[in-house]
Formats: sequence, structure tokens, C-alpha cells
Amino acid sequence: MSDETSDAYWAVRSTVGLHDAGHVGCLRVSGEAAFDALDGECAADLYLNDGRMRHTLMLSEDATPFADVYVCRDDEDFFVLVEGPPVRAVAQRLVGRAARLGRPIHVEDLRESHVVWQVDGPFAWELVGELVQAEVANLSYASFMHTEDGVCFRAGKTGEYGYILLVAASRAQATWAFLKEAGARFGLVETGIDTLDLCALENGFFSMRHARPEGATPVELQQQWRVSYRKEFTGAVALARRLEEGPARRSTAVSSAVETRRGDLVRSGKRVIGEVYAAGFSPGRRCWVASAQIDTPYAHPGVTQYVVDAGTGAAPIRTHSLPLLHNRSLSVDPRIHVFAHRAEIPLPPLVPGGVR
Amino acid sequence: MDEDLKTYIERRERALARVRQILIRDLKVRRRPEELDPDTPLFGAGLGLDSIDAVELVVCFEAELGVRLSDPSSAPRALRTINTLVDLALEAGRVGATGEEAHERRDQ
Repeated sequence: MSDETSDAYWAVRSTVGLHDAGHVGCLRVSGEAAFDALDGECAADLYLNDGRMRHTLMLSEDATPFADVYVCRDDEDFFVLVEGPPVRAVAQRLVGRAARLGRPIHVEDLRESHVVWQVDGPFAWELVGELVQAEVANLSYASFMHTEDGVCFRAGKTGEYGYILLVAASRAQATWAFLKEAGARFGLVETGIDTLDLCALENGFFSMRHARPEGATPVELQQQWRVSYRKEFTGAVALARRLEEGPARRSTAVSSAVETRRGDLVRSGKRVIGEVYAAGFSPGRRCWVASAQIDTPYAHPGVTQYVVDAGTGAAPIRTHSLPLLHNRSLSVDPRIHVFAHRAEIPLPPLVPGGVR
Repeated sequence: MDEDLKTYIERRERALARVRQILIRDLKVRRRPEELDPDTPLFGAGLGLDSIDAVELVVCFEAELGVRLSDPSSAPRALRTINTLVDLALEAGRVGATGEEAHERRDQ
């Protein structure tokens, strides 16, 4: 890991990371069929109050993930933050569903007029508060607010305070400059997508932009909290069938002292019990961390008897409960803490017995 | 699967079943047990529990499993996911440490 990437990682975990989120699409969905089209294409219940959002998935007919989405209710309309496929593919599904319903829908790609940035870290709330001139610390997780230049969504996958900023393109240059200048007082570092992916991995999120285990559904990925079994949607039948059958494998967090890569096999004794599908070096844990699909009978945390067949031979691993570290944001209370006096905040070690 | 590992996994599965039962029966989580993945987050976007639920959870854990969550420094870690609750439940089994740490100790 380069020094630059390590600095970015520690910014997200300790101060503030800023990312130009070119990988996040944003749609505005309106019209008579807006709710029903979204409800028929998204896997979670979407009964949301105005200003609230839901983190869910759009599935393919075989129940494998198609898109990672936040659905955000804005009065009678919706914002949809999209990760994975091109937004036009998501828009096509919504338009197709509305056509089958025989009711009008309007889907606008806001990336044509806006930029999307992400701000993550234990003190992200302090920087974003200066930008939007409001107490964003009061903005609860999975809610959003309109700002002078766009929309501020409280969301993220790093386990830290996270905000997704939708900013009008006409204001982008000035706003970015403001964030960089003000952010210097909060230890801000620009982060790459690899850093955010690593932090998401440590907190149990899979990436829609990377290859996933073949045929894995939310059941195998431990993402059932993002789906409902009480509604109809694309992929619901296959998903219910998979749950009924029971998962043959289940995503499990592992760590290893030696380099671990996608495709490494996991063994218990001589028996192959799984395969790594995402991995990276964690500066916080000072070891390699990974997600592996492991045969369900073996897929439990706290086991130290498995090995991975890494490039250098068999290496011991340990399975873990998620998340893989104590997110510092849990110890930072915006009501009483500020970045300037962060040294006075009692922080538990990132990992038991590990670095503070 | 060797006996030591088998014993550990059986204990873990029993604890997982009890935690799922508490969530469904006492916290009124509208899910079937098999829908509650072990690494499901308890708060925020996961099961959507709130601070009142957290108090209820602490009370239920004490009543059901004899587990006290009075140490404010350990509570945030224990209340992250279903699996971290299972770790806590195993700790209450007088294993002397969290489930993860206890098993690791046995291997050493």
C-alpha cells in the first residue's frame, strides 16, 4: 500500500476523507408511477417519510445483485443513488416497469447537471456543517436535506460519519475549493475509490463494481437486511427459493498475516470449504482482510483453524464478526466533541489490543 | 471437522438461535430467524433498531442470558451486529472472554 493510500485510509478512519464519487449515479424519479416502479424494482420495503432514504438492492431475475441503491423520498418524488450498472440501465428498468403499469414516469439523470462527492470520517459532520451552514450532526443516518447548492445525503459504507453531496455543476468548482480549504483544518485528505472499498470491506459491504461470487444472492452475501420477503419485485421468486433451500455458502470476514487475494481457496484440514472474493491490506488491523464465501456449516466467526492457499503456500487465517474494527465515529459525539480538541476524546483501540 | 471446532460451532449456533429469538420475540423484529444473517447490523440501516430498542435489548440480555452490558466502553462494540451479540452471549457462558477470544485461546 502506498503512503498516499495509507494517508487516505487513516483520514477516513480518524479525520475526514473527501472523494469525487464518479462511480455514484443519481436519478430523480417523478410522475404517477414513480413509487410503484421503484417498489417493483427494489428489494426493500419503500414506505418512507419525506426526507428519509433506504439502502437496498435491485436484483436480477435470478436474485443476484444488479445495482446497489439508496432510494430517497423527496415529497412525491424520489432521488435514487446508484452504484454498479450505468444509471441508464437502472432508468430503463424503471421506465419499463412504469410502461407495464400503464402510468407515466419521468427519470432524470442528475449527473448531467450535478456532481457527486462523498465525505467520510469521524469529523465529516464538522466539515459538512460548515459547507451547508447547518447542524448536519442532527441529520440522522439514512436521511437527507436540501442545501443551497444541492442535496446532502447522510449515508455511507465505511462505518464512519458519511455524507454524499449532490452539488450543482455550476457551483462545483467553488464548493470543491471551499471543502479543500476548510477541510485543511480537519485533517482532510482526498481519497481514492480503493480506500473507500477497503473501508467498506472492513464494515461488511460488498462492492457492486468488483466481481462477486458467481450466483451469490443477498442470502449468501449476508445482505438480507436490504431485502423484503413481504413484497413482489424483480428477483423475489428466486430469492425466496434460495432462502428456502438454505445457503450452501455464506460470506465470512477473515484476516491473515500474509497477502490474501481473490480466488484463494479456504481449507479446513484437507477439505476445501470456501474461496476469497475480496481482499485488501488493512492499515487499521495491520494485516490482510478479506471476504470469503465459506460453506455454511463452517461459516462462523472466531475460528483460527482454517487456512488459505495463498501464493506462498497455506497460511492460517482467522474468521471474524463484523465489523473488523471499532469505528471511531461511535466515540465521537458532535454534541460535545470538536476536531480541534480531538486529543481529549477517549477512543477505544481500533481492534482489541490494537492501535489507538 | 475436528471435535474442538465442532463443539465451538455448535455452541455458536445455539447462541445465534437465542439471539435471533430475542430479536424476534422481544424486540418485535418482523423477520423469520433464517432471514436474520449473523452479520446483520442492529441499528441504522440494518434492522433499524433505535435507542429505545437498545435499552430493551440490554434488559433482555440480562434477563435471558445473564449478560450485563453495563460497561459503556464495551457496549458499542457488542451492539453492532447479531454476531457481536453472539460473541457476548458466549462470553456469558463463563468462557472467560468473548467467543472469538476464548476459541483462539483454546487453540494456543
